Amino acid sequence: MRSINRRRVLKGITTAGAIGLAGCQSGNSGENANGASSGTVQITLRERDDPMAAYEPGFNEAHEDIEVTASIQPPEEKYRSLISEINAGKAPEVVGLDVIYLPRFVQLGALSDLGSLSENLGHDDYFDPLTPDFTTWNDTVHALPFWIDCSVYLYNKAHFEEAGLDPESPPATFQEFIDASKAIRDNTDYTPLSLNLAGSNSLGLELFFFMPHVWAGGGKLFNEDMTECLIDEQPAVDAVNFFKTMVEEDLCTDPTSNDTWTLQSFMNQETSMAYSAGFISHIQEESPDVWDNMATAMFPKPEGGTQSSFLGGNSVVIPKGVTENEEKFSAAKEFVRWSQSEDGMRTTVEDIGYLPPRQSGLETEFVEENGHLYDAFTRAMEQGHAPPMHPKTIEMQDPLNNALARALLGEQEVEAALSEAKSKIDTILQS
Amino acid sequence: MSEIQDRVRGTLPVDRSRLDWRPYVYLLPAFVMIAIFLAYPLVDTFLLSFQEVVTLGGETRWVGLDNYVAVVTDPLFWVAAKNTLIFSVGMIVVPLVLGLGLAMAINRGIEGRSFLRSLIFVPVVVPIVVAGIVFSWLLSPNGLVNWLLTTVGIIEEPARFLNSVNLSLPSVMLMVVWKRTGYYMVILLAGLQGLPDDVYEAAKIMGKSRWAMFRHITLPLLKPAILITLVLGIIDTVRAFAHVYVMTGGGPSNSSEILSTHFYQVAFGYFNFGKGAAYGFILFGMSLVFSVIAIKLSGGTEI
Repeated sequence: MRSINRRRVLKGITTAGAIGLAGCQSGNSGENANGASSGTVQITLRERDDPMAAYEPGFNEAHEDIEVTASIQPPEEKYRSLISEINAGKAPEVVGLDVIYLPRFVQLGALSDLGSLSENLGHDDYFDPLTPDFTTWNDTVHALPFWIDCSVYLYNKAHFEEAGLDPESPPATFQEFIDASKAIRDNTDYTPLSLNLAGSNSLGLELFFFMPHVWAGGGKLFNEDMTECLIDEQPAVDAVNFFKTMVEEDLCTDPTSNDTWTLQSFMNQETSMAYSAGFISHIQEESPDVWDNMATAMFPKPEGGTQSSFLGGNSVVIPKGVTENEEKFSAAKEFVRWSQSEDGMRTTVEDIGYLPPRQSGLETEFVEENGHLYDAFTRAMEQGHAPPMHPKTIEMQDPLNNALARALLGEQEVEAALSEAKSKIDTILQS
Repeated sequence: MSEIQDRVRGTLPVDRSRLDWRPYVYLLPAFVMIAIFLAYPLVDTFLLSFQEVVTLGGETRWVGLDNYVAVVTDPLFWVAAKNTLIFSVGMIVVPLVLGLGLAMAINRGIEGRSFLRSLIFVPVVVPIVVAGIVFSWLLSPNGLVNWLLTTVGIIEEPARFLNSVNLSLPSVMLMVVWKRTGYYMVILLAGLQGLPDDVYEAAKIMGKSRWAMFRHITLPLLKPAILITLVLGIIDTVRAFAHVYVMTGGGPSNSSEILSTHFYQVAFGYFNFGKGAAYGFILFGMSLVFSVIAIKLSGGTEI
């Protein structure tokens, strides 16, 4: 057996280590891995979905002295690692933070004050619910609205015609919606609605899809002081009863399913309608036939109510530790400024497929050309509600999700399920 | 030669000036790694369990036992504890009984035992996430199980195995039994193959029945192997996470929530770091206590 020369092995390990470390080297000096020249400030944008990587070329094309790199991580991993990074003082310079998480991160003292930046920008055409809800906590501006998502429903106009319905007049009330669904069920082979409200793997959808029906009837999740939950009141009971009818009459897919991807069956033309987020541009490529026959509408409302939508999405924030490096902090603020500009909003709408924070972001040629899709989105942005801004909103999703599951599965009466949810949420609010 | 024997017995006085440091130097990297990656996080998390994180990377506040009180007064903790107890039947009892039966059958030298042993062991090497996804497909309303049951006429409508308050946990347990039976079988088979033949021959001569031999010879002699499976089963039950997380997410309505999935939600879903740390130590304590109880009850300490 050939003996091993220790000196040679050590030399090999040292060389390999040096090469490895050289590969890890980063910084502002000289030519970097992306070919950016010396003097370029490099910052990182942390986001959650692949399409958001489009902010990287969008921003970099407009800036010579700053280079942003998009770091994409799925939501759960993203927040776990973000907390570790902030804890260690190594946070990315810019973060797209889900508005549901915003109050908790503010409470943990993790975000910089963007008050002066917001003031300097001076934009006055933000959609109403977004400011202050997406930005301000305890009178301090910690974020600016970045890309907005809203909940609407999609419908297939060809299916509507087949069922004898007017494709230009989508149902707008609970009763109209049930009647239209019955027409589809009775006159076609399609399942009327693709829906997921309360699957155990779809925490968040109870707010995104269910709450607009409560808001439409004048209901709320909390009182003004956020000291008491109001989810057991009549508007919420009416909303659950609407969905219960849809389930009992066999008018929708299982809303408690663990399969959270409601759009797939709509894109496969198995269903005629689908509760959806605002991110729909991918349908054009994946199901061109559906895209050509597709329209959007706001969620139905109870008689006498006002149609509503859930306005979610991400706010753009700068983690607190970034302020210690003046150069990086300035570059991060420049990214935030750009994200609110016409150029940044164009990237959000056209390249990524979400909605802009300001009204001028929807006053473009692209939106005009796709008016049949954007009309409902524009109305949703005007009439929608932001999620309740409370650090424990994340915890409160669970009792509501469970209550909906129990009521829709017939395990518990609607009133009793909502009363139990109220009691649990009250306990969380008071803890 | 005798000097070496004396050294082994440790009778020679140690000459400090000739103490060989090399073994300690060789062990040092391992100790450093253990200190950095095991001891430090353990101590840090233990301290965190008595604190509340006020700001990230900065202020913390000592809260004494508040985090532990918050965990045990959380009604969901007890729901999850009850579910974990039920879940342990799928993690320990059923696969242990099945594994023992299969191990005995294979040990008796049935036809094609090598093939059978490999076949039963295959689920063990399937990653838990993959197994969870496959079983989710099988048990879905359009899945194979529902198709079979409706075709044969046992049920009229497809059952909601995974989103039924009553069926979600048993559905996960089904996958767990499939996955763990082979694991226990291999451990118990190794134990069975080490049992002396002469004891059985003596019992046969004495005219003992098969049941008597199983009851009075096999089980007592197999106790160390059974104990290993029990202790591993208890630890794995408390640690079990992906089984439930992938198939049901703990729902519907927390009907399949077990301690580890609830712990994950508290620590990493709600960002309650102090309470999460306390929860982690409660789980650690539970696996320790139950393992010691299992060892004591079985009357043996040799694993």
